[in-house]
Amino acid sequence: MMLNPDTDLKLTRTLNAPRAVLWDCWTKPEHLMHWFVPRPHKVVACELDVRPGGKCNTTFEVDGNLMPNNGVYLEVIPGEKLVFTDTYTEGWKPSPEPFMTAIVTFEDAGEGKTTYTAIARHRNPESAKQHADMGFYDGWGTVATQLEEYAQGLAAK
Amino acid sequence: MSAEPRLDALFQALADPTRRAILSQLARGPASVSDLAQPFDMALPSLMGHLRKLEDAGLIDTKKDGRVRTCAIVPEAFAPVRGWLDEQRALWEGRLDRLEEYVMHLMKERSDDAES
Repeated sequence: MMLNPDTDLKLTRTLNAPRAVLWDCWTKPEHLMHWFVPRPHKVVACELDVRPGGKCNTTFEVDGNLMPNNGVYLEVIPGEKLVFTDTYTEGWKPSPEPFMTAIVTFEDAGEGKTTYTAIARHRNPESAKQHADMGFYDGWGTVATQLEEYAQGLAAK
Repeated sequence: MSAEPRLDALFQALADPTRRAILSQLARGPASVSDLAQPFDMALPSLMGHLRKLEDAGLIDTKKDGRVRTCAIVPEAFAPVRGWLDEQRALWEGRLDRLEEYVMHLMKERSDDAES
């Protein structure tokens, strides 16, 4: 797949867990809610209908504000690949402000390990910049992540 | 001030939809408090509270000229949030860190269950 360095990003990491467990973490609300957003923020609602066209809806609570993130799955290969987007919501209803498609893959890496790859493809930078609110929110998310990492570093000492 | 508390204040200021709407309006140019109040169905003291939070975070400057207070955006304040793709990368990296931590916890729980 040709990725555009201005709009797409790719993360790969070998995780010390089998594919089946990682798949559960991504596809079962009772697991996903634990890691999807940085603390102290919460996933307060999560509905995952894991099939192409099925809803992939999460609601975050950020400082008392509810932020719904609704989308659909585009491709589902159990234990191997998950593709979802916010371009459509359930019933293939087009979204007013689509932003991204995510492609998550899981490959055996031997000894019970998995090569995990996440690709996020976004709309062009110009349209992304127009969505100032979105940018602000994501920037905020980044910092929450940084703070959590920082706190974890402190806790580990 | 070190980076963390500064960023904390910055993003707390940005976490509120009304304050983001105020910033969106100021992105088009400076405006008086009464101009800013117009699109919001909100009591003036609440609006002033939002403006104060934005000013404390260094996102806006306000100046009083006679009875008119004018607000303007501080473009440099956005430097830490520049680069939306970098932000997305950090979001996904943070998510991956948490997934890794969670899955290790889950695996341990399952192996403990299997042993007991």
